[in-house]
Amino acid sequence: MAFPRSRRVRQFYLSMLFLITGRAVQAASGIDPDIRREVSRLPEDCTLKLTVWPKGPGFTLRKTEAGTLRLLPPQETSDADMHMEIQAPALGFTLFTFRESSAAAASKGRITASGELALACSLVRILNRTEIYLLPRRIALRAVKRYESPPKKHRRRLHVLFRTLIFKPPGGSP
Amino acid sequence: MSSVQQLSSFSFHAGSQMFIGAQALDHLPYVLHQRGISRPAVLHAPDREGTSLMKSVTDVLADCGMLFFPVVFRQDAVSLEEHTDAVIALGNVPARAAHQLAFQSGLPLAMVLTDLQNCTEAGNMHTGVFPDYLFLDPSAYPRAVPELTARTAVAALTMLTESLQQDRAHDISCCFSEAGIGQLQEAARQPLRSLQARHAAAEAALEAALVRSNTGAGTVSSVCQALSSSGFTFPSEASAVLLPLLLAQMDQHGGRFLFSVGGSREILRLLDEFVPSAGFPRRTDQILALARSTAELSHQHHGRDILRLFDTAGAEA
Amino acid sequence: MKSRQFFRFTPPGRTVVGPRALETLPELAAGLGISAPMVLTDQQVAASGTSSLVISFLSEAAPPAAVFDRIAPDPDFTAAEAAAELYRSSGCDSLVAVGGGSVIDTAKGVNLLVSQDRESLRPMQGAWNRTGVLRPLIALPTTAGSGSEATQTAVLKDPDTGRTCSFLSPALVPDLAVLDPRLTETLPTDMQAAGGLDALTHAVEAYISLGKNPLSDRLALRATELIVHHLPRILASPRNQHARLQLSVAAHLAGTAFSNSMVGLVHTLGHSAGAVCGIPHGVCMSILLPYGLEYSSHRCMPLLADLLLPVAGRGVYDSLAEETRGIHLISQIRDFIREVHRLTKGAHPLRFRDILSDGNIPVMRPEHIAVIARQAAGDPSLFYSPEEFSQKEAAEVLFAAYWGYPLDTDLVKKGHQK
Repeated sequence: MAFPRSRRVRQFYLSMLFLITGRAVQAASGIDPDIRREVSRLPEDCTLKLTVWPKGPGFTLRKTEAGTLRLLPPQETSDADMHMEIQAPALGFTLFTFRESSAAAASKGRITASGELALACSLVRILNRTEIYLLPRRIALRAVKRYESPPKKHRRRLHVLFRTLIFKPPGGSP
Repeated sequence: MSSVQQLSSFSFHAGSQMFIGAQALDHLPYVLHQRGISRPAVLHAPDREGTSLMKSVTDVLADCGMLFFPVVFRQDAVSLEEHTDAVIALGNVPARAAHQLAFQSGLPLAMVLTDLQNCTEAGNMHTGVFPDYLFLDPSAYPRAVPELTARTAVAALTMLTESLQQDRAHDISCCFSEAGIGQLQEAARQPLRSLQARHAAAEAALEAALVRSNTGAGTVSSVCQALSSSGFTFPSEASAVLLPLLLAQMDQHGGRFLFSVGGSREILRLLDEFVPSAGFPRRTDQILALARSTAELSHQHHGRDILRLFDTAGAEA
Repeated sequence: MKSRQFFRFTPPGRTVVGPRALETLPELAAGLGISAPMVLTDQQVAASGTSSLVISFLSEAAPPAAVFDRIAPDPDFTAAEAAAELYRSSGCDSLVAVGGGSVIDTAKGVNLLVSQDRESLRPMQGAWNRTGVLRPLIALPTTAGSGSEATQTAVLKDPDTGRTCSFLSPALVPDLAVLDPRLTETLPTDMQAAGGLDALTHAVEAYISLGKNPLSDRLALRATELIVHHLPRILASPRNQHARLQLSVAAHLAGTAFSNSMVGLVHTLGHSAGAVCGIPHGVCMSILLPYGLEYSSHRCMPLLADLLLPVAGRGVYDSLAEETRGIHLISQIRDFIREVHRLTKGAHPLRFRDILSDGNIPVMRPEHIAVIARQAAGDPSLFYSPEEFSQKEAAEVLFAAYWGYPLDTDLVKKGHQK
């Protein structure tokens, strides 16, 4: 069963984590060359959505003309080319407290994916790379299958965190 | 590994989608939602209100905003509210009623089981139809009662051992039997009070039910069931007395698949692990006598089979 | 594995096995309530007379309302969509797939389209996203390999992108699988070899996959034992009915195992190699299997050691030190594949470079490797691989498999396990 017991605390935690992760992915997509390469292979205008069933939270990212990802405001998040859905808030909590990696969650059928699964693979790689910037190494080790320290990690980490906090979009319109 | 089976015909069916292990119950609302279910009935025994089993299920449904109707199981009748679109049965007590209710109404059936099972709940023995979904989540298990876990383990061990030895055993059923015995080995490595051991015993019981649905009940299980119907004993107690007789016979005739799980010596070792914790009254002689008289009166094949077991044991003695 | 770790398990539908299993088809079809099935097959199976045999049994209970035999190897959405149209226009109520993995996977695609009243499969892709009750589907596998008659997955190619697309849902598991040695009687030896090695790959990858569980483990181990025991016997003596039935059972067990644990790197690369170069799936699997194991070995050495028991037997297993068993397994599997190559008189290739088209031109060329590696990055089976891999690493594995030299394990990154 879920920990902590209070659903409201858990929901608040998840909302915060989704907000931070969504912003961080947007920021990292303008900074990390591997993420940029991954995004460049996505179809134009492609939208990727990650939510928790039944009532969220979640985020939607769209590929911009500049080849980065942009976090869409909630009112623009209806349809997506690929939608990943975590099957329960408690399972989302396990994933976002980094007690289970996204690969393990996918392999256990805890996440539903609707749409082209190649896009789901891209989103998971982008999330993993972003987590390496966001999280201390010891925690990131639990969240990703293989920890690869990117070049200039500390400088880029500061850059990603700064952009996440001030929520500066990485240029380009959706 | 076992020797390879000769050319034979068989049929296998296991029917249910299984969700086993930590956080398994968290999948329940989504699975129901995907099936279009929005108003399930939660069927539970009267004494289960407020228990961790009941609370776990109702919490997880409420957490996802799913409406449900708690229905108390009583021996006489179970009635469902209008618009109920599925049955969720909690634990072993209402299992038979839930099977029949789902079968008659055509509603999907989800069973949430614990380490207290008699190894029929997850099978198709009651109606010929398997439950649609099976859930085993250690967080939903009620307070630890090692005697009951041990009895579940003995019942499962008997069925799994017999299923390996049945004429109807085959490569698919044996995989399930071996997995079940593997779980009992896991359970025997831990204190029976621990969640690991309880969960392993519960999983073994579930696998025993699935296998038994395909290979049928063996000699010992059938006789134990008959003794249990007489009210003198319950199946696991009788199994603990009669299974060693079967193992002696298997040793004489060579177990076809039993080798893959370590042979009869390993089964006896497991039995020795669980029986002392099961709290059975010391009445081996009475059970043996009753089993013999039941077998002599029985016109069914298992009656003759159990007499053969006695003969083998007698010859050995 | 921790005993309380979560897993979900979807068993196969009813499975009927035996030398006279086809005779039970009318009764079983009637039990499913079908009256106007659509039979799906391919032209090779149709020409061999196997589909006619099935239809003759089926007709006793439910004469087919339509027969669709335009399914090519590595099928794409087009075949499924055309078959769905025929299904609707003929007033069918169920599907009967007689063929290998391509035919059964196409039947699953048709089932999604007709049950959920859709025109195109493209928007229906995904994992765990389709449920509900589909039309009855009966699978009669004519190759002992894919195990698709037991799985909750279907893989079809998108004709627009050339990519393989995956569908994963418990609803896709066929309701009934019939395994009868007469179904594989006319299978050519090289296809038997490729099918058997495909099944071996399923079993081995299921055992080392991230999604493994105690049930899939048992199924995988038994499947491995049966394949290693029976495949050489079939290749040496193709009329051995007992061995052919046992291999069908093994493929079914392996299918059930990987359907519940999923597969890894070998399939990730194999799907893409098949899609880009048109190499049969089973051939891709057998060429890549030792390389996939070498690549992931540092992550799963104890599991590879377990697999040595069914592959090499108790004597070899007991004679080796625990830490050398995993490496020995890889060399045993290489030897086994070489033995299959020998028994098929070289028809079963050992490396990609040796696969030639009708005009004696290699179907895979070194320049394909980058394309395959890029496409592999979008294959969902990479989620389940015990080791992560980049495109560069995928290309290294493919190069080694192309030329047939052992993988340079120093090139494999070991991530945070180092």
